Order: sequence, then C-alpha cells, then structure tokens
Amino acid sequence: MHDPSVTVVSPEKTSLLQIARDLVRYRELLFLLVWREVSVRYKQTAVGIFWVILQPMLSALILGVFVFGRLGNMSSDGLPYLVFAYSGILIWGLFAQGIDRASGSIVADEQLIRKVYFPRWIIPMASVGSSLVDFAVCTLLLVVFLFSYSVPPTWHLVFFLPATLLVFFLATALGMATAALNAKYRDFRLLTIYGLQIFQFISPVYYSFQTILPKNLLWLVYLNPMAGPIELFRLSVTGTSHFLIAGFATSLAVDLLLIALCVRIFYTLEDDIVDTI
Amino acid sequence: MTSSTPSKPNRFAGAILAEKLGKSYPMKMGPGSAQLKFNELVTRQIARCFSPAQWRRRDDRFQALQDVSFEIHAGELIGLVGSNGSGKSTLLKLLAKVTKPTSGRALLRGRVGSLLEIGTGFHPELTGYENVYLCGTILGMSRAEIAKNFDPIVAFSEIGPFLQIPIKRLSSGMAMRLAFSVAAHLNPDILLVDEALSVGDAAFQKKCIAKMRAFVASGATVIFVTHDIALVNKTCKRVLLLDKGRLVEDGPASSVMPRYLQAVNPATAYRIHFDPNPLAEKTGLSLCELTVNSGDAVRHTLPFRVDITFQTLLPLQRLAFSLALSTLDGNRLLSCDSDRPGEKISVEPNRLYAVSVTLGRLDLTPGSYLLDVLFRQDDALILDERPACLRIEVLDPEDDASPAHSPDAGTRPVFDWTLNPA
Repeated sequence: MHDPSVTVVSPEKTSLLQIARDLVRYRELLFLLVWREVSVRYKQTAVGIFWVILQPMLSALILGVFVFGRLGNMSSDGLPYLVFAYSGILIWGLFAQGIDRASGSIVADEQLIRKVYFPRWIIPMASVGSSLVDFAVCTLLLVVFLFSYSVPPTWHLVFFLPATLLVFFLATALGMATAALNAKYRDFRLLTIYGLQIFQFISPVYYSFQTILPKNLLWLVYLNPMAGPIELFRLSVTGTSHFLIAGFATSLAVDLLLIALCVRIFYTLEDDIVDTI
Repeated sequence: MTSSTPSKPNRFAGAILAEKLGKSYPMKMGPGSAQLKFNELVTRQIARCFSPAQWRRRDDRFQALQDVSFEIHAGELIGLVGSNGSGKSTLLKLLAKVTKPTSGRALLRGRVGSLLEIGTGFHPELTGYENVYLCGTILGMSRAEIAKNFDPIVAFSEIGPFLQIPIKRLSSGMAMRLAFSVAAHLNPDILLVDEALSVGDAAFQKKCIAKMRAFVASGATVIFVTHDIALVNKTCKRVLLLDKGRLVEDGPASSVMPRYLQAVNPATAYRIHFDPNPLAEKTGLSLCELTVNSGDAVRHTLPFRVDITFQTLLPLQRLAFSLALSTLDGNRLLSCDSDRPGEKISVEPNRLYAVSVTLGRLDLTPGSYLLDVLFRQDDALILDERPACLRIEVLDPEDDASPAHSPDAGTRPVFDWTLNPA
C-alpha cells in the first residue's frame, strides 16, 4: 500500500502511476509557467500581444499573396489563397514555434531545475502551451479571413479540436525529447531550428502537393508527420473537398510512433538532466 | 497487506530515514570538469568498437556521497556541516529530489520544502506581486494557499509599496526579502535549507533563524547547511558532519563541532590569496589578497593592521568593509565596521583597490583566532564574504613562543593592580 504522505528518494525511475499523479498535482505549476512565458515575452513592449498576430499576418501576406499566390500561381485546393495559406501557417506555427521554444526551455530554466524539484516535462510542455496561447489569438484573424472571403463553417468544424490537440501533443513530445537532448548537447537546439525550416517546405503550408505530385508518389508526402494534421486542420476550418483519408491515416501512424519514441527518449534521459545540463 | 508489517518500507516512525544513500557522477561531468564534446564521444565510441579491452571498461566515477544513513525525528533542528566538497549540498539535493541517488534510498514523511537558494523561480521582468505567485507555486504551494498567505507574505517582506514594480527595478536586498517571505510561508513538514541564510544582513538572518525555530517548535523538521559555527552551537541540538561524502559524525553539537573545527580551520598564516568570488559577476567585486601586519605575527597590545586588495567588476556605491575576529569555536570577539553615517565610499569598475584597517592596539588574549572579512553594500547586500578565512595567532609581546592553549577569556587588557592603605 502506498502512503501518499511519504516521499521515497531512490535510484528507481518514476513509475507511470506517479507520472499520472504528477499530471494532476502539478497542473497549477504548468499553467503558471505558461502564463510566465506569455507574460514575460511581451513585457516592456508597447503593443504587447499584438506582436503575436503580426508575425503570421506578415508571413501570410508576403509569402502567400505576393510570392506564391499571385506570381507563382500555386495550387491551393480551390480555396482563396489567403485562407489556404493562413490556415496552414497558423497550425504550422503552433507546431514549429512550440518545438522551437520547448527545445531550449530546459536549458533556459537550468537554475530552476538545479534548485527545486518538479516533474521536468512540465517545462517543455509549458513552452508548447505558450505557443498554444499565441495560436488561440491568431485564430481570431483566421475567423476574419474566413468571413471576408465568405467561406462558411461546415460540420467539419468538429475536427478543429482533434487536429489542434494532435499537433499540440506532437509538438510537446518532440519538444520534450529535443529539450532533454539539448540539455546534454546544445547541438540539438540548432538541429531543431534547421530541421523545422526544412520541414516547412515539404509540408502543405503554402502549397498543396495534391496537384503538384503524381498520384503514385503522393504517399511520400504523408510520411511527413505534419502533412496529415495540417490538412485535417484546414478541412475543419474550410470544409475543403481536398482531403485524403488514407494520407491522413499514414501521417497519424507516423505521429503516434514519433510521440511514443520521443516520450521514451525523454523518460530515459529525465533523471540525468540535472547532472548533465 | 496488513498495515503493521514492520518490514514495509513506509513504516518508519521518524520524519526522515536515510539508508545507505550514495551518489556518484561520471568523472567527465563531475564538478568543475569540462563536458565531453559530441565528436569526442563519437570517436571514443568508435575506438571502443575496435579495442576489445575497452568494451567492458566503465568510466571512472566520482563518489560525491557514500553510504549515508541516519534517522531524524519530527521536530528536530539538524545542522549539516562539513568542509567544501564534503557532500552537504549533494545530500540536500537528494532529499529534495532535485537529483536521484545512485544507491540507497531515503524516506521523508510529509510535505518537503526545499530552500536550496533564496529566490528560486523569481523572474526579473515580473512584478513582485506576480513573482509571489510564481515562486510560491514553484516551491510547492497551491494557488489557494498563496492567496490565503498573500498579506502575511507582503507584510513580512516589508516591500508593500513596491509590489507592482518589476523585480529587476528593486534593490537586490528587497528582492531577497520578498523571496524569503514566500519561502517562510511555505509551512512544510520538512524544510531543507542550503546556506541560503548566509546571504543578507544580520537582521535578516535573525529573522530567518527565528522562523526556522518557529517551524521546529510547531513540530516540523529542519535540516540546514551552514558554515557558521556559532549558529550551529547556538541552535542545533544535533549535528551531522560529512567528510569526503561520508557521514563521519552524528551527535550533539558539543561532541561533533570540535572535530569539525579541526577539519575546517586553516593553518596559522598571516597572508592569504583568495580564490575568485564565484558570484563576482553578479556582485561586481572579488577579494584578492589579505595581509596581516605585512605578513608578521600579531602581538598582544601592539597595533594590528590588515591590508586587503580587491578587484572590482562593476561600479559600486555605498561600500562598507568589515573585519571580525572570532574564537576557534565561532564566538565573535570584535568587529571593525567601516560604516559611518554620511561617509560614502564608491569605486570604479575593473580596477584593483587596496583598503586597510588599523587597530591602535590589540587586547585579545594571546592564542589562536579566526578572521572574517565581509564587503557589503547598503547594509544588506553582501558583495564578497570570507568567513574564517585566516587563522592567526596572537603572541605575547615579549615572548615569541605561541601559547599552549586557547585563551580562557576573550581579552586581556593591560592592567595594573595597586594596593593603597585607605
């Protein structure tokens, strides 16, 4: 029988049961660290949270409307280009920004980790959480775009939450693994940043692969863990008819494997973080 | 399973039970050594594949803590002492779960609060108000508890009017007071304190100690690490002494402290070259060298002069120097403070300075004494502190032989008894 009032200090790994308990016990700390990250980021800025919206808006306008939409005549699954690109940028932003912030998070909070105990996964998860807040703010702009291009909401909206959560957990898992690896070798942060940049161009963010690639090569696109989630997200907000279930299923399988692998990596490294950072 | 099984791991009567706790680090990442570069790691792994003799070789490990066992009952105030690198901080870190042991285990009953550093979790950009919540939550308080204790926390810190200002705009003394207030309201069953008390002015330290005593009086258990011998003698009934990672003494202060003193007191000298202050980048100042009487012995009733050189890194105002002499068991006998009202000492950054103090005559009884040096700013902020850095001998003016034993009385003034018929 476990006596909850007794703390056991031993070389053994944290049990899965304990991790589940920690999720409940440390939820306040998680929310507070999310709040810290959001609030510190925009302290001493004149326009504050407006910076959140400015960055994806500029990307959408410059890359989307001028570079790809007008000049390149990119395929956009029959949607207004701005809606197509912005919805992609939005969900990609949650993923990329989340991982980017998470990968450096444990090193950034080194002082904290050395001085006080709490489950270490809270730190990268809070980083992705802060990026979820940005995502929520930027979604308001998407609503404006959808409205002004008269793209009506459809029943597909039920996929909005699952797609967002899938990306959140994918980013959290990847963020946890890179953050833990980065604690030992700072190379991983740099690797992550370059990796994300490359992956953005093989993801259906600014253009759709469905009309570019021949049908028999299309499956390759969905080996990209973000290809499926981006298209599911776009489907949920626009109700586009260009959604490949088989493609999404492929991505989902890759995602689940990746999440399991990343959590495993973190679990293995977790106890050594404080000694190797 | 019946709850009365005596062999159950959770069945123990006290507050803390440690059984053969041990912690080792691979040499490569041990304290002070450089971390292995990634390419070194790869080349080493490849080399290993080709040399079968190395396949089974394990890396050398540094044993920071070894076979430490003890039991502590609720309501005890325990002093944890030992020379630098003896494993005190490692032991606290293990008990606080900051790092995991490599062998053995420990059981702790009730809520564990750790104060391994004052101000853990404070963020400079956030206001005092926000930091109270942040720091409190990180230390393990719930939101409701912080809300309930918020007013007492602010009252204790005495910084009420500045609560809405980012912490970075407050003086470090104020930030520290707030940080300690939060920690003081943690109300744990077990409190682990690592030299956190050594920062701050005397009044602040007194407040901390009073708070620790109050904890203990209410049935909580406190373990604290300190180098302050007098404090241990005064407050702790029981002392644990660590040496090279092993628990070598566990008992009442009166029997443990003499052994500790033997271990930590420096050999007699009249000049010391200081290691650089590890906090110099933050405090802006590091002591370099201290010389007593230009390197000569100190003699009873003759002038006593101390020269100190120090390096500045930042411009500093309102500096104050203080020098003190204590007996070997930590009782302070005299202290010379440069602090005079109206006098303002400022220094420029990146320069070497020399400061000296002269006592007209020294009436201390011939014997061995320990010298403490402390540089501070504004009464509160310690810039550099070297407690018991030098052991000096006060000799009889006529006799060169050092006295056989420590003095019975602290001072021996020059006196003259005269007998007259009245």
